[in-house]
Amino acid sequence: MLEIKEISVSYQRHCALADVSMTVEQGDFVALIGSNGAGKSTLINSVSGLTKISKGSILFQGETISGLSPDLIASLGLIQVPEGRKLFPLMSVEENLEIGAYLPDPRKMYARNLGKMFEMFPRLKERRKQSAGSLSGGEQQMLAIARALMAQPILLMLDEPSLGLAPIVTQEIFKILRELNDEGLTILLVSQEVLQSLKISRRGYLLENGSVNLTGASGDLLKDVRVKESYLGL
Amino acid sequence: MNSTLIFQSLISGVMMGSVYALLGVGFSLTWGVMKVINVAHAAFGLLAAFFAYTVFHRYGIDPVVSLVLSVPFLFFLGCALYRFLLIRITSARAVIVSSMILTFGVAIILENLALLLWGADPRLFTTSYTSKVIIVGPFYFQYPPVIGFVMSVVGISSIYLFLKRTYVGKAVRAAWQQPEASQLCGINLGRISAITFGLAVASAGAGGVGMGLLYSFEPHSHNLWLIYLFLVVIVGGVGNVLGTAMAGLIIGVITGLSMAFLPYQWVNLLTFGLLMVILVVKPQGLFQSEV
Amino acid sequence: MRRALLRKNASTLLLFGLSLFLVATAGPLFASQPIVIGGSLPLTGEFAETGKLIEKGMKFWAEEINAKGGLLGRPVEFKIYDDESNVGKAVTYAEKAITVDKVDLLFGGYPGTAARAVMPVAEKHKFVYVSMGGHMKSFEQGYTFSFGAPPLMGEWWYEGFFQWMETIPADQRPKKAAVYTMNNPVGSSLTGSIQKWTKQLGIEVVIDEKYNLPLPDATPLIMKAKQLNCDMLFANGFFGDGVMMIRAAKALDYNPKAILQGIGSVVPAWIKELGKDGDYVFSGTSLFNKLNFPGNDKLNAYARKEFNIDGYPLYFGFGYAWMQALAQGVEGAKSLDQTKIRDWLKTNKIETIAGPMTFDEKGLPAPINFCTQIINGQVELVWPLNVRTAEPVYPKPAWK
Repeated sequence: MLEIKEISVSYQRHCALADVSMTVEQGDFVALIGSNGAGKSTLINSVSGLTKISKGSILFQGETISGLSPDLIASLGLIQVPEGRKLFPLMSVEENLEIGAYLPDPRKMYARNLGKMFEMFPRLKERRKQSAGSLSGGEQQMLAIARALMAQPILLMLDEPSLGLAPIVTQEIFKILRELNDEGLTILLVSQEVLQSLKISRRGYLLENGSVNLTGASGDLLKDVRVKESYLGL
Repeated sequence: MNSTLIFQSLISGVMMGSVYALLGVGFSLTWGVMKVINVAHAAFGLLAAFFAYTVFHRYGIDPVVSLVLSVPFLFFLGCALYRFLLIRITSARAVIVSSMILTFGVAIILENLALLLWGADPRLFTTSYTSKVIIVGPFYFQYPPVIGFVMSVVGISSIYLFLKRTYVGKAVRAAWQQPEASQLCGINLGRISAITFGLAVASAGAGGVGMGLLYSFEPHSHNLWLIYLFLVVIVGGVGNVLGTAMAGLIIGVITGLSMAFLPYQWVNLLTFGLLMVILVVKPQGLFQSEV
Repeated sequence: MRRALLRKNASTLLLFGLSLFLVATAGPLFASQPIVIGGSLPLTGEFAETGKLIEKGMKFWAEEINAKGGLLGRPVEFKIYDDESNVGKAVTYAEKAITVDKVDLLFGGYPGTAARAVMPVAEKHKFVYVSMGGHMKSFEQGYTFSFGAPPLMGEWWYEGFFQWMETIPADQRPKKAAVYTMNNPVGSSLTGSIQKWTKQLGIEVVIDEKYNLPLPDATPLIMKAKQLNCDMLFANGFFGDGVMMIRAAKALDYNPKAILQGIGSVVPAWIKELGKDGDYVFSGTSLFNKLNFPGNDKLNAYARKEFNIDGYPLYFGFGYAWMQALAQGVEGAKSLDQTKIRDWLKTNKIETIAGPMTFDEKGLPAPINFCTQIINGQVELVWPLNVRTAEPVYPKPAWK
């Protein structure tokens, strides 16, 4: 479904990604792990079109998408939940969800999808009229996910959804992601929570210093010595 | 000092202030959301006033009715201006400064265009209702300010409702609160910017005709109007639509009260003194920036 | 080779020097040697429209005098700089015209602020300077080379009106006056004569207030005047604020016996834009196209032919009149010697389209007392009697 072919990204002189390749299959749940500054966000932003790649190509459902503007990429069903949530702080919960369903097709399904979201995240329903900026961190993250889901993603990409959240909230969010994948949604998860993300995902990629150093089934990665030593502290 | 005079001053002041607010709301919007200080804003308003003048004298069409033509025209002009001109500076490091320089050039072009087409003589809207009044008890409501007030209420509430109730309006707010995330939701930033700018320029048209109902105008008048724009926006909070309306009312009340209580020559001193106090005490304006 | 060249150069130089000498000494002998009249006008910027009218008036004068054989038998030509409506530039250009271009004569400046600033320059270089001046103060600085011919004097603006009012029986005069004056030098120049004359005529000044431009709203001012039963209104302002006063007066049905409006009502836009509501307003002027002095009809004919308007524009007339005054000085003195021109002007009478004038030690003629009133959409002269074009309408009829 998503094919990343040997892409490179550089900021000024610094090389953020070097010849990275990666694939995500239909129904897949891929975890992209690595330390801070390894290039995970750069990779996901390159897919969304927020970062320009200097080399290589990105294909989504067989079509080249590298070079397209972010809004066009979103309209193909490639939806990102950005790092730091990036909600519309002065707008209400409901308005945030409305913007999530901004594209023509999702807009038609707005009412139905809104109901689904409120079912999935009952707390958002309680706070529907409140401004997004006034929500707690966990609620904000849920809203960010719900906003992305309103766009009816074909592939959902999440950038550090657990950052700054209490462990119990993190667990809740990961549980929801698992369920979404079980229902058939393809997910690409970027996270520093190596253990948890490998536990819920099917496959994993380890990104270090801008290149993929390890890949395989999540279960295998969990057992890998390098992962254990560097990321799980075992 | 008698109560009739005080109340009459207040009414006049509030109506006047409301027209300033109508002229200022678009200026506030582009400044607040796009970080573009459009110093040609008042010049667009002036253009609409001149257009209304011509249409009135040629075809007898009421200045207010002329907005049916000029507002859409200005909207598209604004969109085009963004697409071909302003878009080039939105990536500049200091958008505010470069936008001021760029739009200053636009203002000069518009001013000279007005000079060329209409000449330097001052103009007035002299319609059948110009000196008509509604008399309520001891108070006089002159038609032109009342019409200006109604235009302002209609204009500002439409902009407010557009931003709060329509999908595109919400997209405008989203785009300026969180540009990156809005793109991830499928919002085309270039298109939204063009719409925002077009809307602001269009609202200037309504404001310009409103000013024409109150004051005489000539090709240089926009320089003066610009001062009121800054006043309204700084009091009302940059980018805050309802704040702009409130600022208009506040300025109106202050002007009205000082006209009734103080020697008249103090009125402008007081209004702009107030502006300075607000800038010092609450640099973000009396009302929070909100879009 | 070098020597030959040098010799050739030397002879050229000699020839050149000789010709220069000839030109310098025999200049006046050649009738074709023009008299250059220099200075600056605001041809662009804020005062451009008016500045261009003055230029046209000056050029019309030049056309006319050149057709008659010129000044002192020599043709005249202008060297006009555009000061961009900037006082500082006006001063620089006056200086440049005198010292660099070495013009023969200096022409008058506009607006009053520029004229006032150029006066000391003219005085320093001893150049006769005929202009509108910058109200009374500019003529009270001891300059001997500056002339107002005619000047534009706020101090004299209402002179004619009050002189006429004096002829009205005391019981028919207004009793109470409301005086609203814009807070600037032009406005201030009007107030002295109002104080003096109202006292003399037994009119009580009930309201005497100043306002800053721009005037935000005139309604409270008019309401106050109405409440205090002022039957005379002075609206001492420009066009924009003047219009607001009139409109508020009509809206509030405030109908004093007489309305005087300072500067705004003499611009053509007053009649054109205000229509009937602008009627019956009194004002003053120091020059007007309906004056019956020689020359006005000629200018009106020219205006009809060239600009397709009835009656020449005021500033077209000013440009012409200032040149008329300067030219009579030159011809009277029979010389381009500035001091001789000045002395002749100070001691002789000249004829201008604004009437005959003699000048006092300040360079001013006797107070000009033209009073205008707008009647049926026309500016009419109502005072003094020798220039009257219509009977004044008093008291003011009710609003229509």
